[in-house]
Amino acid sequence: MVVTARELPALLPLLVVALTALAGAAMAAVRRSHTAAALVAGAGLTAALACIPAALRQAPQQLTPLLVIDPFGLFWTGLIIAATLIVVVLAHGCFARRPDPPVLVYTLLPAAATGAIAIVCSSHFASLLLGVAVSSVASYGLMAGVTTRPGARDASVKYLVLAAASTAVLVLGMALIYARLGTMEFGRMMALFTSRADFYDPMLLAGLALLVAGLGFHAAFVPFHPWMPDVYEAAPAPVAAFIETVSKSAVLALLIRDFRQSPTEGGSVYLLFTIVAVASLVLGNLLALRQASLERLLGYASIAHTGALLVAFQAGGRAGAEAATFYLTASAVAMLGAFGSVTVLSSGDGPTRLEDCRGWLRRRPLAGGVMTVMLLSLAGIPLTVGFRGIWLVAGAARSAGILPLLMVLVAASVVGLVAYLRVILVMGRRGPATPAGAAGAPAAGGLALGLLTALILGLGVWPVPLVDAIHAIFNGFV
Amino acid sequence: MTAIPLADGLLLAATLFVIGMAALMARRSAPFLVIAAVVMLNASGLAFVVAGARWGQADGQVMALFVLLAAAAAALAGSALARRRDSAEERPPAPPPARGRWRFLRDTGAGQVWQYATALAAGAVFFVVLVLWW
Repeated sequence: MVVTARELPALLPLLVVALTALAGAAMAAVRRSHTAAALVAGAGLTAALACIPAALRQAPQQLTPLLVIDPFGLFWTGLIIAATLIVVVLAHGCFARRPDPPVLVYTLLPAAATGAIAIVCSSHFASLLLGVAVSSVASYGLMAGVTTRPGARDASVKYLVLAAASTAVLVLGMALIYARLGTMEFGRMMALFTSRADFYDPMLLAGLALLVAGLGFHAAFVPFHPWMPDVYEAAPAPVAAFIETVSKSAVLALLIRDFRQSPTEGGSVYLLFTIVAVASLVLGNLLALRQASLERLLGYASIAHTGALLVAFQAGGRAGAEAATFYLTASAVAMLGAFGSVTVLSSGDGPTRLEDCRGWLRRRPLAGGVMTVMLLSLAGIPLTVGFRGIWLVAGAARSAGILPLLMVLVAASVVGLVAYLRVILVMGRRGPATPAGAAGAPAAGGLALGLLTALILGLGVWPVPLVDAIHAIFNGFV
Repeated sequence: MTAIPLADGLLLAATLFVIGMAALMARRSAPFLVIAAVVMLNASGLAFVVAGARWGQADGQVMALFVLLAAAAAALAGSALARRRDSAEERPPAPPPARGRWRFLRDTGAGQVWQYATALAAGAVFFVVLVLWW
């Protein structure tokens, strides 16, 4: 049960990210320098990223009953760390404009990333609970500590109270499952499930439903989604980017990992996810069409993307899980880029209304171009990675024979397309003569955005490396 | 000392949980909302203690301690937030109320906590009922 020195490399990425958070906190006590804090966080996260190959050599490995370090977990660990690094860069550019820039952000971002990594690698209820708690508590801080926009306090209270309540729902679900099965390890739970295929037990099923509901808040699928647009509207764009790409993706990756092999086919949980997928797709895309603010639109786009991901999930089997992983990766990159360009383009003291986007393409061709590419990828236009993602999901759904869901997916994508194209059209229109936005993108932020754009276009034209990598990851599973 | 039956303990936990949920929907002020969320968290922790007692393992109590930590952090952050006041000019203008049959598709802006809590509760109940009934 003890982690030996030989096994340590597998744990290094998680440890280094956690140490980065601690180092940030210690530094803030000594010297409150905005740039130095960002540099420490950036250096720590880069070091953690550099530890991943060493960890990969030891994978797959079970470290105590709590954590499993396998290629799937390390893939997401890498993505989480990279996304956090980009958010640190964007946040530095965004907050440097303020007279009193918040130093705390560079402690809270690695802390929340630690929680997200724990969620992705968890193989036990205890580590899942700790991961959810750490990442959501750090997110309260991110929301409450750095927002100066109108309505920020309301949104922070909303996020905090609802996140705590949904954690309570999650824990109640865990407790019911534990009361019935007597184990909290996912592996043994699955064995108990599959050993009795006709498992029908009210307490167990209620626990499972509550567990899914509790995770559903963080993944923001439909009945639990309404906080997301509000929070994105009130949070600074880098914080919204973080919640979107790190907190949400971690929970969805956990769902992909642990419900991949559960015998849900035709069962009530299957029906549950079908309803949720359809509702998320329809509501997310329809409401995205009606938003007057860019951040809210992105929030609803995110809900719709979760719905599309659940379609791949419903397709089931290995093809479905691989399609879901690819799709989640693609949408995380595009969302990060979209919020990143909002950071660079908008003035930053309020939600970006759609009218504010007028003239972005003419005034700031580079940043506006990045935003356009990201929106096209979110819409699933060919030559972007988003298209490949939706193509894989549709393929998985077709071969699984779930045609009704596939039709809903296609119809909802068309509606979504209109929503995103509307933004691009507004951006192309002639805008106000005086640039209302910030001066220019900082070099590091511009570099990060360029990298994301290259990823979107490069993987859109030639997606084979990512597809192969994901294929290899799933070879690691039984 | 006789053991408390599992059903009784879980019933108590569920009752506390429902009280917290109801408070979340009924209350409007930030401090009470935080207290309601903490009551819910601790009710779930109690359910874990009861479940651990059934299996004679300490795991349930360890989980309850973790839950306590999460509840304490939420209470701390919540009370810090509740003390902060938005000045009048910081407060956003109230969105115009949506009318018409399809107003739930309108989404004119931010909703209230109780609305979202109702969605959370209704969603959770819907999930449980669907899964059990099917």
